[in-house]
Amino acid sequence: MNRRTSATIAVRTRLGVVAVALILAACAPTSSPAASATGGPSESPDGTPASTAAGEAIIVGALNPLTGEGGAYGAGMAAAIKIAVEEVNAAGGPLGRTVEVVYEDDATDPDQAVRGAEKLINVDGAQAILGTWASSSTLAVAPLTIEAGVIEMNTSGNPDITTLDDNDTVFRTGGSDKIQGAVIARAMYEQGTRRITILANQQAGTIGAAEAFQSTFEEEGGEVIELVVYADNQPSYRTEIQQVLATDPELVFLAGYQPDATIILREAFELGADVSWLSQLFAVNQQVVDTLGPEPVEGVQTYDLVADEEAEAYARLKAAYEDETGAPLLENIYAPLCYDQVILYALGVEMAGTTDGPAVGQAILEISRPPGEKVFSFAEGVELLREGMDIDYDGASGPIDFDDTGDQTPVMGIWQIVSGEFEFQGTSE
Amino acid sequence: MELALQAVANGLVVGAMIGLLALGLTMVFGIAKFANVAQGDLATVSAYIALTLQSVVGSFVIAAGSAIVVGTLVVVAVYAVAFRRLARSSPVALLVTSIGVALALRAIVSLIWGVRLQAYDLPIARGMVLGPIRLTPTDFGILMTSSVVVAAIYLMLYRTRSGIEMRAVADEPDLARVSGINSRRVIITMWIANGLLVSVGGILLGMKAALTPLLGWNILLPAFAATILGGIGSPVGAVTAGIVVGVSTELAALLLNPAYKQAVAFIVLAAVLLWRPRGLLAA
Repeated sequence: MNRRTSATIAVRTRLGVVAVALILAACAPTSSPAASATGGPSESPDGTPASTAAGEAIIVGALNPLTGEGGAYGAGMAAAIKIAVEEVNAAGGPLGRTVEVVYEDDATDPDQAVRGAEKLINVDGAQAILGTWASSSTLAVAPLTIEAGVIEMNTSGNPDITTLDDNDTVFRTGGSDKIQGAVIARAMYEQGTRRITILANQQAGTIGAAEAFQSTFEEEGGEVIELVVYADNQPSYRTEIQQVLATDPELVFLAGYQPDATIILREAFELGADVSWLSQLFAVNQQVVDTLGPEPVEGVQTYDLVADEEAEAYARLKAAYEDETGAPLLENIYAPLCYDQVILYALGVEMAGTTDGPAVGQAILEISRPPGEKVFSFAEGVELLREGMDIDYDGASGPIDFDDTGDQTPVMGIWQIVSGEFEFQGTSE
Repeated sequence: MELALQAVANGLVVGAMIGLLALGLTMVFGIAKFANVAQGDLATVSAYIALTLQSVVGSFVIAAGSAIVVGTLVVVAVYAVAFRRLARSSPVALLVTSIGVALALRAIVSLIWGVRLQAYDLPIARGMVLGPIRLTPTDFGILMTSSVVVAAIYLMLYRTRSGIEMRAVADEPDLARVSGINSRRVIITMWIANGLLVSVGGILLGMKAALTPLLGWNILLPAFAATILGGIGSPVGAVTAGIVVGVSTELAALLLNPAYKQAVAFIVLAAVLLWRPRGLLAA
């Protein structure tokens, strides 16, 4: 073999390697939630018009994550939907019709969610799909529900859900990552913190939270010294941590996910960092404490959605939920969120006088927020609506006042890790 | 300045792990003539084997040592099952096979060990201060272990008969065969050496980061970059380039938005290839 051919082979091999690199880049897993949204219109729902005949049951689809990453929450969400529907039916139902639930598991998988939603809409004739949990599932299902003119209610966090062109049919009980970031920034300022550096994963959700945190914190009068953005899936983040520490902040807001947050907290500890940390509970949770041991996470503050335990609806749901599931309601924030979805939907149908999605959506917007007489259950609400009064439903998860995009500002709870235990510090209000 | 020195130290540690995987990749290129996409996932398998062994025997050193042996056997088994029969096929067939192997291994790891984050039971300690630099015992472990392994592979390649045979097959396979070199034995020796490299690399990576099924996959792209940068088929080049990639990405994190630091490795790669089209130390 002469020199020329071996050089050609070397070049070919190199091209091959570059091709491999490109393939790798292309098939690297991303957590872009919209990636697997099929987006295509569903087959025309032939001959299933929204029937408004009195007496006929209203079908509601519960599309919860019974398995997969959300598996810890899905069963409780389904139970809360069941409890709420029983309450609605006991009070006579909206427009005097009973509500029936069909349950489907989305397996925390957007493909599965789309199959479930297609079945619920086209086969079962569902007028609403409630309780999608993962943002990827919500974003995958929304095009189908919007096309079919069906209400979609979810507990997801991705900011893209806010801007969906949905004719006011998509609602999120819970809060977008952006709104959560703003709420927590205000709480930190009120705690007396003034100088913060943010360390944020470059993913859409975490960056969104970081930027919302930054603008709110600065509006309040605090200083965000620096926003350090990192690429995830690295074996080490030490250089980034050192950059953060060099800014000498009072508090570091770590907007990340569990794998990177684990490494960052460990490396910061190894570096001898003496600084307070704040992070989302989904990033720094019990698993992280179990992985690292109590020392590196001592004093870390975490936050998450929290239900208003003082609320009237919460107490009622708590009794029924714990009776039904045998698990404490406190462990599943998504259950009260789903409970409120059912009540809001049922009141919305009553007020709209139809199950037509966009009309019900308009009604839900009005029922959720002031002005109006405050009501805390379907029975109270339906009575006042029939008297022709305006109402404002305050639910089990909180006051739930939807803005025009179908988002609401949730109540956030703050915990601090002390000796490996999560100690509740209070709420954002 | 202190930040920069520390970034170089961090880059050395990460670069050492990249170098181990890149050295293995370059050997597979040299002898078996294909880009082994499964390299990262093979590393992941060994990291998880060490996790299970530690829960059985307790001592991390014993667990890691045994996991290197078991992990090497896994690599040889993967060769025997997936790659051996395709030895005379085109590099593209082998490449595609290795993608399949990578996906299968990752699925098996998720199935056996689950997808949740896990970590070795190692003491977490404050780092040691050396002048302006702070290094943890884990960092020292990574630097020492990878130096020893690289030195062993180097000695094997340049000081033993099988090493000489291996380089002969890599350079001129036909000539090597007519000279009476048993190419089958050479290939098996190469896979054993690669098994050692990915197993050690995977376990070190698991010590440094935390174990997820994507552990090895996440470092595959920089390892491929180092393989090309060093000059495909050049063992010394692969290790050197691993360190260049590690250090340049960490330094870049200081100068640029750290979110772009991985891209810098590829800019360095492009720049070097313009200057030396066959890589830093092409064979």
